Amino acid sequence: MAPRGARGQRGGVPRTTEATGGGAVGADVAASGAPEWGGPTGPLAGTALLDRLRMTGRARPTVDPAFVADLRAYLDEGLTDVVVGPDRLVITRDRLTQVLLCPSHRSPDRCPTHVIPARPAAHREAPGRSFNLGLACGALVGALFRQIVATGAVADPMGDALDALGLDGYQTPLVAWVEGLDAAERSALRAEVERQAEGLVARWPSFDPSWLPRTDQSARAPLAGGSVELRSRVDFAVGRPDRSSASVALVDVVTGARRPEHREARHFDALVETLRGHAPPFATATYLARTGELDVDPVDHELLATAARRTLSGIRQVLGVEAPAADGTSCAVCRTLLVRPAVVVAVGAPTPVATGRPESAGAPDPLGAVATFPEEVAA
Amino acid sequence: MSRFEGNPTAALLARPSGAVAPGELEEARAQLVAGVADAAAGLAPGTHLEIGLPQLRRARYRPELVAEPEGAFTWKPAFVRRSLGIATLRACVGGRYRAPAEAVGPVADLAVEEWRRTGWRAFHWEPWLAGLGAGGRAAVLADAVTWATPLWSALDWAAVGPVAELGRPDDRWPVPGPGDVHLRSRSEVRVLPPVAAGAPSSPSVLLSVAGGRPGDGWHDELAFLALVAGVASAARSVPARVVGLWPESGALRVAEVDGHALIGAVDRVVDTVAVLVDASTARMATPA
Repeated sequence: MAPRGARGQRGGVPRTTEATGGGAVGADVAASGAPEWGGPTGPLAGTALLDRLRMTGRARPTVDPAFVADLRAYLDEGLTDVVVGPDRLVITRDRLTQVLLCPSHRSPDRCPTHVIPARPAAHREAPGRSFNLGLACGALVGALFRQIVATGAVADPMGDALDALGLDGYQTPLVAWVEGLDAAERSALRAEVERQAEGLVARWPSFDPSWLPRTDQSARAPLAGGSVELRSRVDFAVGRPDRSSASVALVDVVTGARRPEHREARHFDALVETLRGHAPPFATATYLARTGELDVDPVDHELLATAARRTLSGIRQVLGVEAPAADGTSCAVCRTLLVRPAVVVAVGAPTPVATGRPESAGAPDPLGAVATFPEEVAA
Repeated sequence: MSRFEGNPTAALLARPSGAVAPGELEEARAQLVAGVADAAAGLAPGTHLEIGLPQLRRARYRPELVAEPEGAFTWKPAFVRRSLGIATLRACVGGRYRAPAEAVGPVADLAVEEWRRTGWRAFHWEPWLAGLGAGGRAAVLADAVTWATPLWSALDWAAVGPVAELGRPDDRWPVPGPGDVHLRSRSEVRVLPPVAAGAPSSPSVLLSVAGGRPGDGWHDELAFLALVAGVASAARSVPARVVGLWPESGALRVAEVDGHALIGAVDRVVDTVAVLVDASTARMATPA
């Protein structure tokens, strides 16, 4: 395993050898004065990626308790006319995303954070849950991301990830499912996991411990006297919470293709963090492990107010007291495409785990050509 | 609204305004013994009940879970994060490391090395951690960092550190009388507030960290920690204040401990014992 001190070099240099199946990712990264991994036109890496996250181009917002109180009051007042059952209503970003998407953009095969259309052949059931290669890839790469943040290196991507997930009782069925894949599927999954892990090790910057990097951070914000609870879980958070100015950045790691709803999901994360901690994050980002891109949104009052409006609308739709907007404006995909209704997910389309495409190539995604956000970082 | 709103450091360090009188503790102890004896009357012989904060909370907020049979214990990161997280914080407070992310690896390695060298398991999880592969070990370290970081960033350790005891041993007390009922309380930080020279010593203040968000019975839960600390040790005075921190929801609650607070905790213990005894009886009546 690479010593922690070597992490500062990660992302600033090219790989010296091609990673091979089961081989070390990171051990083959050597220090040199070469250009950043991916080349000058490739995805950001190392300190450039870190700077992209740190410097949003806007001043970091000051902590404004009155504004946070207004946000909370807006949400609470918007729920005064609804009746929640005896159990508290838990709103996660996935639940919110699903209810706000129009029916033509909803699919049981789509997970908002790991959006890969399921291949029927690889889609099997476990008790109470169903898995596909995309979900498996997301869970495995997520575990490797935690490992990279915690230790700085990955020796055997597939083995390490299964090792980590095997400790989590919730993921035991997924581990069994992966181990039961036939040789071809497992090989495809391994190849994609190794490719994404290689990209993470090469690009993901080293964070000074004093910036308090942490993974898998969860947050809750009770509303309406506790009968409704917003919950978020971000893959990575960095920055010491401060009483005067926003100082925390949130990052979600996504292994599938970029989707319009990712943006709203990260805005929801920012909202919950603000309501929880009384201070907003200064940035909320999505790292696309498949391509190495980092989409960053600076957080301001407008972003939070919009997220609050959408969240309130979503809660009311979950409770059945509000109908979806007839013009499709609540659906992230419709708004992005400016056409309604838009694309139906092509179940059976090639999955990213099987493509073996170069990291800088476009994803084989039906929305890929049009679903980019103009303010996102260019690849 | 608490006068310590958003400031756990102040809540830990402010001198308590009062203290539990010996008579109030005795009264609480007597009510506790009588109440538990009554509630545990239906407990099958040989059944052991341990009552801690998790049991108090489950019985009140998720009673349906109490009836579920407990599975065999297996180690997992969630069972390690608190003890490793506290050891990590201790190393940071001691000035050896700047932050949890830097300390966690060396602290875990040192614990495993000590166990290998002496056979002594300071944390119990050393052999399990030593047997994990790189991925599993990383998951354990990451979990501990995520647990420790909110506590590290919530307190002003320059002020709290010199008077704080991190992760002291649990307070345990076997309730006298019929039934095998034990109380156990666990707090993450214990502080003896500084006093001026010549002034009488002050009762301690405890800090408890929990997941999720505070339920409506939070006051009794925090007072429970003081109650068990008080009945478990005749030598120490009852903690005068208990601070609750729920980092996930950003909540801070403070319970000032007096006789009334202790009686609230006693009632909560008795209610919990009753719920657990009912569940135990139901489990035994259910055919396997």
